[in-house]
Amino acid sequence: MIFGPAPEKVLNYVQTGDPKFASQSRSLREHMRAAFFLAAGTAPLPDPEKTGTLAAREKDILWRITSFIGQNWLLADHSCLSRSELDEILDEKTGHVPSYLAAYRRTLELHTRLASQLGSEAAATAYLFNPKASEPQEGWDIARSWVVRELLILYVTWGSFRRFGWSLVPGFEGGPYTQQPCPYRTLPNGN
Amino acid sequence: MATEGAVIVGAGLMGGLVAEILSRQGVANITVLEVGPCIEMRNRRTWLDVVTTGTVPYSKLYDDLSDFDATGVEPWNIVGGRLFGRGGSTVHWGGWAPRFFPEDFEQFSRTGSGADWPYSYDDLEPYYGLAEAWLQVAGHARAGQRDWRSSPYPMSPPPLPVTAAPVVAALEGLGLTYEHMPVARNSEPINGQPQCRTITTCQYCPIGARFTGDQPFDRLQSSGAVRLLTNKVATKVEMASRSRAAGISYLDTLTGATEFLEADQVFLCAGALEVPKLLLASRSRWWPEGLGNDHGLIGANLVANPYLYCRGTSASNPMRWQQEVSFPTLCTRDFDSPEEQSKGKFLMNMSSASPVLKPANMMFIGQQAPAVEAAVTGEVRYELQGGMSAFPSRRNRVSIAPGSTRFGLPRTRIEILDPLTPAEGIQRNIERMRTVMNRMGFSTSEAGAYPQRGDHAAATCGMGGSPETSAVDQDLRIWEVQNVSIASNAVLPAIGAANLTLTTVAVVMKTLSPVQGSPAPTLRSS
Repeated sequence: MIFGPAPEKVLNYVQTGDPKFASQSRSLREHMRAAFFLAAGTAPLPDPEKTGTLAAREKDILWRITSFIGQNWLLADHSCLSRSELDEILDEKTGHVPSYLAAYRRTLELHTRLASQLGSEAAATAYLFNPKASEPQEGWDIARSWVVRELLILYVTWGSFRRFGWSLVPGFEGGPYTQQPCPYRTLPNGN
Repeated sequence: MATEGAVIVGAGLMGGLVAEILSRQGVANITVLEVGPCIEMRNRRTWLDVVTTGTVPYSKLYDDLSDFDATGVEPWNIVGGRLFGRGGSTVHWGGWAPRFFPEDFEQFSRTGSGADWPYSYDDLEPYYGLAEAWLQVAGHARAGQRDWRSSPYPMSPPPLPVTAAPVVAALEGLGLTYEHMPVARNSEPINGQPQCRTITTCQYCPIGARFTGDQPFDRLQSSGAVRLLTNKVATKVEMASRSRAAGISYLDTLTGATEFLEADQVFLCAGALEVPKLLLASRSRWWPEGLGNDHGLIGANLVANPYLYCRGTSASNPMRWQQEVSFPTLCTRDFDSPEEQSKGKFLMNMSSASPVLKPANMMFIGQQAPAVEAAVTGEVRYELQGGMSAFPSRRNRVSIAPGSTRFGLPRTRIEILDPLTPAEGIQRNIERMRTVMNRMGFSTSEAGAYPQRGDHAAATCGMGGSPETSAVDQDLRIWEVQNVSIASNAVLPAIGAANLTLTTVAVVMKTLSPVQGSPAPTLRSS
């Protein structure tokens, strides 16, 4: 019995078949890939098919880069993004297509070069978060588009938004709205 | 060639509903043909990408600009209005599920324009309750509401957010009422789906707590009750005689092969644009103008809700208003009334997309903590929105344009020669939103009507009392054809201001799954 294809990445659903329709199918596949790869910035995601796992040492550095966000924007007291949760997110991003493995590694290479040039890892990290950095280097666009931007979003979403007086933002799991108190701010008689 | 019991064209919401009803009735060999692919739902990695990139996995499953021709007084732009794939357009829908009001079923009688339904709100009411249960609707019943109800909502609604405060104050100050928008959100676990955990990436719920059209297929496919064939374009309803279909021809876009499925019963569930196009393509010696089209009604009467907006700004935001949930919550139906019907009824709601500030974006461009904090309490923008009722006209129609799309479908021609609703009504409702916005203390910056996307396209194969005036009978069967039925927005004769989905589900349930005491199921295979 023929059933629909088993769940898998939507990117993989459009397959090429008969040459008559191959161009249409390829076109759709390319459209869908382009929509993802260009969503976050101008630099294409490098080597998106290459999956893998970052080494613990690499995750250490990415955790310290992430922690800079809390220190610099005074968000650390509100963040609930733990090291283990970031590790899990990194594994998701590197373990499946489109993979961020190469993007993270190029960012780490850039970070290492910057640390050497600027004299410290802390200075290199701050440099990554400065959009007006005077001398962007190889890997800069990838680091900014796929790593820095997304770490900022993750850090704010994982609890830090509370610093602004908000109770919830999209992406943070507030829990059932039937509970008391409601996970988002409500009208006094909101029911 | 294969022999099937029932063939369903379209794996969207209505295809899933029909498949589930037929399966419950014991129909064997149910096959569903779907143009698009499967869309992976409830996947953590995909959801992480939605959070961090804003890109949903179905973003390229919409029409392209090159897929259609639009002409007339209101040229449509249907990009983003409908979605091809398992689950159909409910994969991206907001889950709005209000009922029509009784007067919506008497549009022509009450206004002299548009069309009447062949039955009344009272006739459909029991099925609205069943539809709300199936769509997992959370809502709040009001005393004395005109859309009277014989059964409670399945679930209580989400509490109104604090951002509703200025809108509620303005509405009350103007002597208007307000209510919860009924939404397909699981306040409690239901139908095997979990309780909403307020993650509020509702455009891609990672846990399936918003009803989407793929969920019935999950149930049906896991039990083996239905065979779903994706990437298959139905090209023609093949007839064995004038009164009986033999089956469906379809194109396999993965192989390029054309196949035929024999069917005892055919259900067309591909939406208000594709169903008439398939019927028009189904020419035969018995139906030379297309199946069911002897009177030129297939594709005619195309209608959809005009959608209006009004944006306003206040210089400061001391309460730090920010839409913390992304589902619809607050609406007023005071202008969705019989008195407004001739000029266009209006269901006004508060947008859940604003006010929204994205601190991470500010930080990315180099803004430091004091600047972000200042923005949180600085200028704030609100948007009011709303859908209007509209009037079907025979001069407004959908048909087939030359060429094909990347999905292998024939391109679409949309011709709108008569306005969907009077300009005077549109202007009046825009002014009403301005009045509310000004009462909120906001200065209005922009207001108008969004380009018509056809999200709620309907009436292109309308249901009625005779073949001279309608495409299908009350049993949703094409006139004079025993075994081809339409389950789609296409069969609604006319629309109110409310979103159509709940009403269409109720209509299909009324026909295919009557409650006890009503006539037997109408599925006939002999």
